[in-house]
Amino acid sequence: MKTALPLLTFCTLLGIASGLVLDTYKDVLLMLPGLLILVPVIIGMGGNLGAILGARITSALHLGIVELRPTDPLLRNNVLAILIVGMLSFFAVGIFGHLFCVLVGFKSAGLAKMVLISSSSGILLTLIITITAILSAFISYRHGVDPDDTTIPIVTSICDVFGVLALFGVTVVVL
Amino acid sequence: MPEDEEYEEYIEEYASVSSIVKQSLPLLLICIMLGLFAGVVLGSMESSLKALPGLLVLVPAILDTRGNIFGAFGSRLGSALHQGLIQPELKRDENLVHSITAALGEGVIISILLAVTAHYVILALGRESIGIIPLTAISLIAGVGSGLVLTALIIVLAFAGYRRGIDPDNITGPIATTAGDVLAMLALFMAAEIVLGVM
Repeated sequence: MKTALPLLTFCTLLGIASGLVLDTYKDVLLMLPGLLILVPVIIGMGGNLGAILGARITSALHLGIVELRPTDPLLRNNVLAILIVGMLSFFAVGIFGHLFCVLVGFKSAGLAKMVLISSSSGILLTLIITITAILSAFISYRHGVDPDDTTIPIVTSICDVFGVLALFGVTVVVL
Repeated sequence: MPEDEEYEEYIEEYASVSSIVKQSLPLLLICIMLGLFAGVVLGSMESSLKALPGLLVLVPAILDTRGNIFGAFGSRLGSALHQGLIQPELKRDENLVHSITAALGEGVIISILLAVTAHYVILALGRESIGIIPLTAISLIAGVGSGLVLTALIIVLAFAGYRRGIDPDNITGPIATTAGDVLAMLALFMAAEIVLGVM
């Protein structure tokens, strides 16, 4: 419990920062519940993608089979795969998000706009997560810190803040 | 850097783009459905969100701490099962009670810290908060309520899985984050209703 609390506190503070971003756009969100239903899933999916990439890179670091250079085959494959998975997932989030809205009678931004908002903010978030996961894994490893302990909490917390920022950045442009 | 055949094989088998996509996508689709369900609950809270300024600020942090606290709880439970420190039976066990107490204790501390910090940050930014007591009450009810259900769910599923030869390490993490999101949103919904009823 003593080791967990400082990290939990740090994550909570970033969570509050993310909440403040939400609060800033409260009026838009309450007018368009279609956006509100995307909030947990975008934060969650960003964390999932980051956790997968982070876990994969840290295992490869421990095995000594990955280097931080753009031509490294393992790094290239992992990044490419996460970008593909990210694009497919956030495309699906847009489609199902719209369907859920229709199903429960929430006001959606419309299928095309929901997909556009979800995909664009998702791709933006996936890029941010990819860079964060790679850097935090390699930097931790280089400083003798086990990247398994640091990468996922860092990625998920960064994702909280940038997930909602990406969502609203894109929404402002689209709507 | 081992540039030999073994390395080529590893890349082919475990790190090809298609294998990563194929193995991760199905689980992620389930997570999307549950995440959207959590979103629907959030969307249904329109009246509470309007009546209780500051409530929305708590949402990402509450979702996040569920995953962090109970992800770690699940991970410890998995390790203890593997080491034989805990038997997969629902009976009073010193080690199990310790883990549960730690997870629930962290939940209580973080729920209070979360609400108090959020309240003062909201005020510092010149925005409106419903007040430190209602905010803390909502955070505590939602945190402890979802924490209790989540603890039970993780223990039951980890034990049932372990007895059937499923590695609890493969299932407790996704349960903690995804079921955590849904349960936290439901608990937050109920906590907001309770506080609205009392106020």
